[in-house]
Amino acid sequence: MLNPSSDELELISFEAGLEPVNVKPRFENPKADIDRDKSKNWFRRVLPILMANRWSFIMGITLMISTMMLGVSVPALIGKLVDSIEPTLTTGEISNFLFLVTVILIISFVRFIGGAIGSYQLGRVSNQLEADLRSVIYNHLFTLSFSFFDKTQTGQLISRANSDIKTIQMFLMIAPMLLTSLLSFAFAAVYMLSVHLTLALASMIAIPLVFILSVKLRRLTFPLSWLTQARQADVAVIVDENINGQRIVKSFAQELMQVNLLAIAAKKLQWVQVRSIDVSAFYNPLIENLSVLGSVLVWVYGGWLVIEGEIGLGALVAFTMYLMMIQMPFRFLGWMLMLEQRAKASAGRIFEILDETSEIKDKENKVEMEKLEGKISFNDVHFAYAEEPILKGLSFEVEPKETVAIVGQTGSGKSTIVRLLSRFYEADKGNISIDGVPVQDMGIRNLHYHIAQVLDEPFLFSVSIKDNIAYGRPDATMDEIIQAAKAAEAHDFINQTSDGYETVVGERGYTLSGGQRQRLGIARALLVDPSILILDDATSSIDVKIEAMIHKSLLKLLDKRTTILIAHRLSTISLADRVLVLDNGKIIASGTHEDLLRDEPRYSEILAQQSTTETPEEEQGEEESDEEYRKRISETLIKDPSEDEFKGGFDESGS
Amino acid sequence: MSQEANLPFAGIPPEMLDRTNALIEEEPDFSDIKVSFSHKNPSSRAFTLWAFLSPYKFRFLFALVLVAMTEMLLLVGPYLVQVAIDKAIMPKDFSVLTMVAMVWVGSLFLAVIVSGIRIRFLGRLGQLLMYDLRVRVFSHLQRLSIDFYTEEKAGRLLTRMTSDIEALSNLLQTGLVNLVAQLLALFFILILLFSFNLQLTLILLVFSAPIMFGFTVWFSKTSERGYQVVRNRIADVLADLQESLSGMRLVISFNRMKHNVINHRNIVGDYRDANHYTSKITATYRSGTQFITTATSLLIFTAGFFILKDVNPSLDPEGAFTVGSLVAFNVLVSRFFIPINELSGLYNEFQSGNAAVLKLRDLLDTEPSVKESENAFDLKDLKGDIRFNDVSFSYDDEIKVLKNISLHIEAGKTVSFVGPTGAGKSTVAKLICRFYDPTEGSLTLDNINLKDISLESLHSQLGIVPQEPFLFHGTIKDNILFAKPDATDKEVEDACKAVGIEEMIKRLPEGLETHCHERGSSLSSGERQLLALARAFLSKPRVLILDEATSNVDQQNEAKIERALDKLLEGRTAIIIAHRLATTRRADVIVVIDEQKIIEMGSHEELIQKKGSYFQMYETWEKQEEEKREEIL
Repeated sequence: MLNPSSDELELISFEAGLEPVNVKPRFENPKADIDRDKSKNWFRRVLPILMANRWSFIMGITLMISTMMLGVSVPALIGKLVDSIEPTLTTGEISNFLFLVTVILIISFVRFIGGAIGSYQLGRVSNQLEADLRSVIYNHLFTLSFSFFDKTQTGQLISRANSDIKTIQMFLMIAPMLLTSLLSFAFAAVYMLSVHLTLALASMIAIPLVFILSVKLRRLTFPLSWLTQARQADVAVIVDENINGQRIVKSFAQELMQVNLLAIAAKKLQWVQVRSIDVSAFYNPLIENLSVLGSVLVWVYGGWLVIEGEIGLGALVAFTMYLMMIQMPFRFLGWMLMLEQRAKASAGRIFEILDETSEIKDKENKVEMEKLEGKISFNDVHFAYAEEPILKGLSFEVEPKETVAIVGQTGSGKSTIVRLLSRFYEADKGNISIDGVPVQDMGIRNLHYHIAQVLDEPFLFSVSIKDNIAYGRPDATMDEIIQAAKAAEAHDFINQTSDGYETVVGERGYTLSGGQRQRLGIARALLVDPSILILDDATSSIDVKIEAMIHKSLLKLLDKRTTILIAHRLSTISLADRVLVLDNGKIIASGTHEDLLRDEPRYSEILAQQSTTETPEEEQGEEESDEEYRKRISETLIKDPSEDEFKGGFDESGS
Repeated sequence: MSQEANLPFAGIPPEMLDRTNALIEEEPDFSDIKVSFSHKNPSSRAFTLWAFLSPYKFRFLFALVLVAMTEMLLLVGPYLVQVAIDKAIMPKDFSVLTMVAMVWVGSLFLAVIVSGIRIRFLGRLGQLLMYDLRVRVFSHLQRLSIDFYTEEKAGRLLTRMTSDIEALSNLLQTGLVNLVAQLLALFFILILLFSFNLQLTLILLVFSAPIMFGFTVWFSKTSERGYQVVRNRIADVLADLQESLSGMRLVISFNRMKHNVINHRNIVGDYRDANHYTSKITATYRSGTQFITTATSLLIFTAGFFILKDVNPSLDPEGAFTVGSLVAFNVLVSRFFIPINELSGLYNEFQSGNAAVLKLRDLLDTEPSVKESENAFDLKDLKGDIRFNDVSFSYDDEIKVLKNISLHIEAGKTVSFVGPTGAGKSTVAKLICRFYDPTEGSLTLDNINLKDISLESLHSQLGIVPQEPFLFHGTIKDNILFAKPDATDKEVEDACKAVGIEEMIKRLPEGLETHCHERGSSLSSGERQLLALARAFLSKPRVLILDEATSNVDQQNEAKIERALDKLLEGRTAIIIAHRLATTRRADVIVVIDEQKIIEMGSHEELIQKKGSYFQMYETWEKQEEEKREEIL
């Protein structure tokens, strides 16, 4: 599926005709994929994406290095300028002086332009890399099977896609800049050492100390800022709950208790913030003033050297300027080293997703079918999600254009049958075929093209109602959409919404009821006119009267295709030509509703149980966990701790 | 470990784990903190920045002295450079050089100490203020009436307590102090500069300063805007990702991968462009300030050179302005830009800080619509006799929700209110709780006007179970205990037994200690409702109000709730507001409300015999139930 060597690399192979597209690409696809070799280190694995933007990178780095070298010459030239003042005053020949001024001005102007473009280019590269990484991950998600999503929480994926990518981006932006400024340290050091060895060494005496202290400070800061965030989130959680649950608080007269709770949380926040203040009160003045200590040495010891006549005043000026230049990278070096660790860990978490592969793939010589008759057969199918087997030798057949209802207790595996048919999961054993072709041999997209399903809790996207109905066929005309909506008895309520078909789902507090959502789900499936239609408890929340109307129009539509109904309402079951009774992983009986009622005692038992205990099979789940809730609250309110470091950033002109 | 701390960001880098855990260990408990709370607003003064700060004015004054000292100490260096050049290096005087060294190092020591104290002192003061403000704003939120808590406001209220207080804290701790510090710094530097050389200083002020100032203001404005766009764009990216993940099955089964991939690429592309923009601004600014600084040096050197050239040594025998002074002047110039940059960077902080003050003022100045009267008293041992005396109510002074309701609910009786949606049933409950005051007429409890009873004593003897049971983050036990935090374990157990959830709780992995919101152990709506009933039961209210408490319950739990109600309603006044007539039948008195008025009243049997509107409602309801049962088979 992935072929990083080809020129026109697309991260997912698309098949024309099967895949509806209703959006124009405004940006080109990522030019490269990550290195799939798991044995390489994180940086080398990301490198291909970086290399895809190598020209920007090379341009940026070249500009940075050359402007840095230009920059290193400025203090020396200014030193020269200072030294030229006296002689110029005595000779009166000012052209040399003005020449120097012009040269420095030009150099710094060139440095300005070069530096701006250079660091912009490097910024661009890291931004591009971030964007590409995002696309690569996003695209990769579609190649994964559902067993992956079963074991991974959405919140986790989102946080990886958010903070982990950002960490890598930040490291890749800061690292080259810092490395070039370390290079400038080397050049400056060479100049200083060549001018005067001991003065150079003396001036650098404080640098190791500054470095050590800033590393130490960063180490102390991290836990503090992290705990600060946690405590801020605690406060936010209490406030949020008290706003939403104010009625309960009031009705049990618990205001005082809540105020106390908040006071404790606020006190904890205060404590950790005071701790952070103490740390910075100790380290920051120390680091600031230690840096100045170098200047003191330069002026005093250097001044002594000037008096002795060993160096000129200009050299002294140059020295102090260099000192500024070389101290800065060391303050940030510790940070960069820490950032590298973090980037490595983040990359590891991202690779965890990208290294995941799906066991469900298209075969080399897949069968593509333009039209389906719609004959479905399951033959001795076994399946287990985990340990517990759910289907144990399931066999049945559905004739083309037949409407079949599957009835069974909660957890008997009704929905699993549908998932196996759509190949969301692979059967452990046995055969599933459509029109005699095993589903494994069909192209996955081709298979999905022919099957449409409506689930009991249809997911609606936050786009207009029209776009939701046209989800599977964005090219559908308005007439077709309205027709589908009418068949699903959705047309009337859609017209009552504020903007009709253009109403955006979920916006401005406009929420749809469960039944309305189901009706939109049905319309969406009907619009694609599939050969096989699956209604998985699709009318469970719809009012009985409206359901009857939907059934009327469905009856017409069902004749044209094979339909599988999973239902527990009698009214829905009555639509079927035949009912399959599922129990203990097998089909135990098949026949019309009346026949089964008469001949199969277990059928009426199951029906009775179904209707009393039907707490939805997969309804569990989308409730957020404590951790996710906190995260959401804190993310909406509080910035990522690294954002500050990033914005304040590393400033090489440092002052 | 990190789980216990309930920390917001999932990833602690492994090398930081130990330190972070150690810090959490050190954190004091603080659980013995007790603050006071009263329904009456203790402070009648309007909230302004000055009113807020004035109790601390002496401490701020002391802080100012410290700030002034640090700023002056910072300038010792540049001044000494000039001394070193003019008095030591040029005249070749070693002794002065030694002096300079000693004074300079001494000043550095002093600076370390003074700025250490300054950071500590100001920081602690700021944090103290923030703590007070948090408690004050939160207490005020508790004081405000229910009508204040509309859904649309919820999000904004949260930001009052979080980002607005943060913004104010930034304004106080960095903004205001920085403003003062930088103004002082600028002032001192200007004095020094002028004392060095008048002409050069004027050149600096006329040419470089405005450019640098303007440049930094431009930067802080544009970059703020730029980052805002970045924040919005990343939100789009994450929202799109979230939606694709949640709708994965649909995306796959409708073959929408290509569409989504392109669409996501577009969104990511927009985000990238926003990032490019901020990168561009930042790159320009960083290189730009560097250039302005160097160009200024050159300007000063050139101008200084011409000044030196014009000075006739014979006219200026003391050599007031020398090459040395020029160099020293230049050292000062680099210091001069610091306050300029800082001051222009303060712009945003001031804007958001000021906005925060205004928003907090609005909030703190809001009066609760239901006020505790001055001479409200604590009503002990409520009996639960309720009277509505000609009560009318309207939420917005236009449309009346209740019209002239007069009603007597005897203590210990169960009264049920029925009627179509919007008839005003729930309003009755809200009035009894005094979440609202009637627009006209009055309510009495045990023959005392509701307004004369303190809110605390009123609410502590009422129990309410709303339609949507609200559970707090925490364990099941915490949630039950909410009504009576000091209840014993035995009492909690009894409450669970009374409503019949002890079995369900036993089944949970951690029993009573199970977290309510954790994935996997999520409770069904019926179980939540039962939990809310247990909560109400624990508080042993004299008046129990069930506000549509049984309308969203699944069949399984319906029977349980009915049983629980038997226990709950015993020996207390109960108000039941219900859709489902099954719950209603048990009431001593049924009140039918329609079109804002009481249209029928009486026991179930009486009303059935009367064959009025209750009879009709009951018939339709029974028919529906019958249909449902038939459908089951």
